[in-house]
Amino acid sequence: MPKTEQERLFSKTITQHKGTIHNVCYMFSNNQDEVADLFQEVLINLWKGFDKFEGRSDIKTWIYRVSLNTCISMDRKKKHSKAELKMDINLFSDTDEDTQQIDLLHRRISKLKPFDRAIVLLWLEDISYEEIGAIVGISAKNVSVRLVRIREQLKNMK
Amino acid sequence: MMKKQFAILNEKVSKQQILSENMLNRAIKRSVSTVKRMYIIELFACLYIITFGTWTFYEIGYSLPFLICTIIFMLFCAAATLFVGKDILSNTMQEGTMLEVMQKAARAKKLEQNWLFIGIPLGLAWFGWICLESYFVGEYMLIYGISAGMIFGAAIGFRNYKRTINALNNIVEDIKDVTEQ
Repeated sequence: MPKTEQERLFSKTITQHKGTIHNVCYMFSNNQDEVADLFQEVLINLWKGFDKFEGRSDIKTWIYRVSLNTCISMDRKKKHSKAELKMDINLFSDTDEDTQQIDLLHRRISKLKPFDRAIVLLWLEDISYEEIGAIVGISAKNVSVRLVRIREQLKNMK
Repeated sequence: MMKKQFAILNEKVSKQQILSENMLNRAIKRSVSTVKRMYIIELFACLYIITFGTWTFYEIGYSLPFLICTIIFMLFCAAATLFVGKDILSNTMQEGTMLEVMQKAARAKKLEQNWLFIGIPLGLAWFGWICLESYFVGEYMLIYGISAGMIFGAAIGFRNYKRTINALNNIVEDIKDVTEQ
């Protein structure tokens, strides 16, 4: 059980935004073990920065930044350590129709470069171009230009 | 279509238990990353040589200039480690924009790469000197031991160097791709 007030607050924040973290990890993984590894790594980085988060930006924006940066860093390292922690949800092996739709989305997005993957993921979350720009570090105009190109790329994928 | 698929994903995820208390507890307890741990090990190795190593070298009978130079060399290595890893050692490395994080990572990798151009000649000079010192005090077996250690260390160093170069190239390519838009 969490002991301190800060740990309690952290647990509450993570519980509220677990879906956001999971979706980022899912889009940067190829299997369920990797999702669990990434999820754990994101949690560690969020905890490390939690006491320094001053609320200057929205908590969701901060969570997105840390999650995306962690996933991209891990994607570069691609260290395959066996995950010891399991998740109840497994979108890689379920076979229902909904999961097939999700799998289609995953397959298309995973063909993109990590930076573009991040942009399209934020766009799918209905985040404004300004906010996407603030998360990834480019201008809103640049976001819109890249999105046109990414959407074109996705359309041509079969 | 994609937005619809994403909505399905969100709905499915929201219905599932994906966060266990075990996961949260582990995250709270584990505060040091692998990279950070490597830098900390390097710092402790320098500290170990400065204290225990110097004392051992003194007991063997190595010269005073060699002992002083070894301490200076190790302090220099520790300072270089701190300088190269200053962004990585910071707890908030992952909190900047994606572009900032890529730039920080590229800077750390570049510094790591540059450090080898100074570290390797200095290490070789130190190796030559310790062999000479061992020869003068008649500790010939030590020369074999130190040589084996140097070869082993060089092999690990070369492997890490290759990894660093590959990672650096990837990051620089990504930055170029992002900033050239």
